[in-house]
Amino acid sequence: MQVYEASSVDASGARHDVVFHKATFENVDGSCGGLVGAILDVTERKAAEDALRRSEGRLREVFDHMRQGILVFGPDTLVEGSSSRQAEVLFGVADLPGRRVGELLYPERDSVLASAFDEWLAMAFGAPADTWSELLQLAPDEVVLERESAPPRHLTLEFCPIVQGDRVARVMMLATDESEAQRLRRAVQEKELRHARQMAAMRRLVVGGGQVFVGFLANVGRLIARCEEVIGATDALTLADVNELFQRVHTIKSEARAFDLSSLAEEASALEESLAVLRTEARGASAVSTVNVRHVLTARLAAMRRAAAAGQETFVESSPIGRAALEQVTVLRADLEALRAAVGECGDTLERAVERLAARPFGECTVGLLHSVPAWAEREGKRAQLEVSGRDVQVPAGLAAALCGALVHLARNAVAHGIESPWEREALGKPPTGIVRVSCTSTGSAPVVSVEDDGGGLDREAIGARARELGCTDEVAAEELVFLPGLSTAREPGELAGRGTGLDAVRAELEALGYGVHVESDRAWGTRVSLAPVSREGSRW
Amino acid sequence: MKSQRILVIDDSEIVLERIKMALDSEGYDVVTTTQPVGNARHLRSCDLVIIDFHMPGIDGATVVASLREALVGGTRACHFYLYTSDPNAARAYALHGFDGSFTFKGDEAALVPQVKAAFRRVAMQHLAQKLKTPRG
Repeated sequence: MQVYEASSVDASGARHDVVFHKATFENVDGSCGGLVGAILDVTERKAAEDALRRSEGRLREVFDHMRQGILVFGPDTLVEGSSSRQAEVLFGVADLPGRRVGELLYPERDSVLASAFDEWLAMAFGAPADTWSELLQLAPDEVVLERESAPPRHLTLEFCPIVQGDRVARVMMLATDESEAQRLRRAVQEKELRHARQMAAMRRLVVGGGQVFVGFLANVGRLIARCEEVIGATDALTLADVNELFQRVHTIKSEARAFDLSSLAEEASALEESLAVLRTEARGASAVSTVNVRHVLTARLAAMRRAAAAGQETFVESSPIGRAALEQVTVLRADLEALRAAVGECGDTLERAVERLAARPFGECTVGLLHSVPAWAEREGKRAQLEVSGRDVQVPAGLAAALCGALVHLARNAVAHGIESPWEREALGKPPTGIVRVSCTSTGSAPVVSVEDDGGGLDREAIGARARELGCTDEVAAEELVFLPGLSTAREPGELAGRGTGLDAVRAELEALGYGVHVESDRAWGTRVSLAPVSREGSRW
Repeated sequence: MKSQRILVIDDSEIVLERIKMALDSEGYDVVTTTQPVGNARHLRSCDLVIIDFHMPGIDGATVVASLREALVGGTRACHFYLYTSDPNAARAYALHGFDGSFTFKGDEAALVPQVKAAFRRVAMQHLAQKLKTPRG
C-alpha cells in the first residue's frame, strides 16, 4: 500500500489537505487486477498540528529567553531533552540531555553537598507525591559552580514536581543566576566581617596590651625554627616527624589567614602540600628520606620567614608609634610599685606622676568578663550579654588590681542570682537576653564603678530566711545581708552560685582602698552594686 | 524555632572566631572551644560537632572517639564532621569515626552550605523514618 500526502482545491475554491492511501490487487495469474484507493481529508488535523507546532515554537522561545535555566529530569536523574538554552549557558555545557543533574550541580562527588543532593533525589522519586512540600524544604536552594578562569557562578534553585498518579514522575529544576546579587551581598558581608574582625582584633590588641600581633609573629618564628630543627636534625623523617611539621605549618597557615597575611598563608599552604606527599610516603615505611626534598622544605620555610617579616613591616608602617610597637611591653606591676615606693619620698608632684603612669584604663579590668558573662549564662541555661561603658577612664593601679577580681565576682553574682532564665524573662515581657552593665565614670577625684543587671532584683525573702539560718536575727535590709559571710541563696553550690564567700571579701578589699560598696535593688529593674570612694581623703589619685 | 547548636573544636582561637562569625550570621547557635577533650558538657545539647582534623598533639579521630564515648547513653543525636583542607583526609572520614566531612577549611563562606547540607541529611533521615511508619 502506498500513502501520499497532497492538497487539492474543491469546486468552491477551498483548499484541502488530503492523505491518499492506494493499493493494488492481483489476479490469480499474478497480473494487476485493479486498484483500491481512499482519500482522507486531514485539513483540520493538519491545521491543529501546525497550530501546535507554532505554539511549541513560541513556548520554546519563551523558555529560551527566560532568565532561569530550566531542565527536567526523571528518576534516573538524567537530564531530558527539554532543557532551555539558558540552562546550557548557566551550567557551561552544550549538550545537557543525558547528563546527571547531580554531577552538573556538584562535580566534586566526594562532598557532603553531593551526598545530600543524591539522597534528596532518591527520596524525591521514592516518596509519595503528597510529601513534596516536606521534601522541598530539604532540597538545596542554592549552589556555587566553580569555573575555570571566571568567577564562580551562584545559582538559586527551585524544584517543581511533575506528578503521575501518586508519585513524582519527573522534576523540573529552575536555576537562576544570582552571581551579581551574591557578589554584592558578599561584598557587604565581607565588609561587615572585616569590620567585626578589625573590632575583634582591636579588642585582642587591647587585651594583650598591643602585643597580640607581635606575639603571633614571635610564635611564627618559633614554629618555623622548630620545623627547621626537625628537618635539619636527620636525613630521614618518621611519620610522627612529618605529622608534627604538618600541624605546625597548618597552625601558621590558619592564623596567617586570620591576620590576612595571604603571602604567609600561601607559602604555608605550599609547604603543606609538600609535606602531604612526604606523609603518604612515610605511612608505608618506618621513615622517609629527605635528602632530595630538604632544599625544597627549607626554601619554603625561608619564604615563610620572609613573608612573616614583610607582615611585621606592614604592621610597623601602620602603627602610629612605628617600630616602638614591636618593643612595647606590659610594664610589670612590681616594677611600678618599686618605682612608686622609691619616689614616695621625693615629693607629691613626682608621686602623682608615677600614680598616673601606673593607672590603667578601666576597660582592662573588664577584659575577663567579655566572653565570660555569656559563657557563665550559657552554663546556667540563661542568656546574658555584657555592656561596658567608660572603658577609657583611668583607674588608679591599686584600685584596678582590686577591680579585676571584684568585677568578676559581681558579674558572676548578677548572672547567677539576678538574670532570669529566657522563658521567665519572656513571661515578664523582657527580652530573653539579660544585660549586665559595667560602667566607670570619672568624678574628678576618683572613679565610680557600678555593676548593674536587669534581672529580677534581690530575693529578699530567700535572703532573709538564709540570714536567719545563719543566726542573724537583727532586722537588716537584704541589701546589707548580702555581705553576710556564708550567705548564699543557691540551693546547691555550683560553678557560678557559690557558698556565700566572696562578697564580704570584695567589700573588705575595696574598703581598704577607701571605697565603699553599696547595693540597690528592685524587682522592677534589677540590682545595682556601686563602688564609690567613701571620702576624698580616703581615696588616692 | 529553636536554632541548631553547633560545637566547633579547633586549636586556633582566631580560626574559631571566624567560623563562629560565619555560622552565627546564618542563625546557628555556635559554641567554640580550643580544648579537644573534656567537652562533654558542651555536647549535651549539640546537633553537630565540627572538629579540626589536625590539632597539635592530638588528631581529630582521637577526639571524636572520646566525644562519642562521652555521649554514650545520651538522648540527643549528635553528628560529628571533620573539617579539613586535605581532600584525602576528607574522603576517609568514616575510617576515622566521623559521620561526614567538610572541606575547604579556611574558607568560611564554603563552610556554610556544607553545614546546611549536613543538617538536610539529618532531616532526610528523620523524614525517611517517618515515611516508613504506616500512616494512620
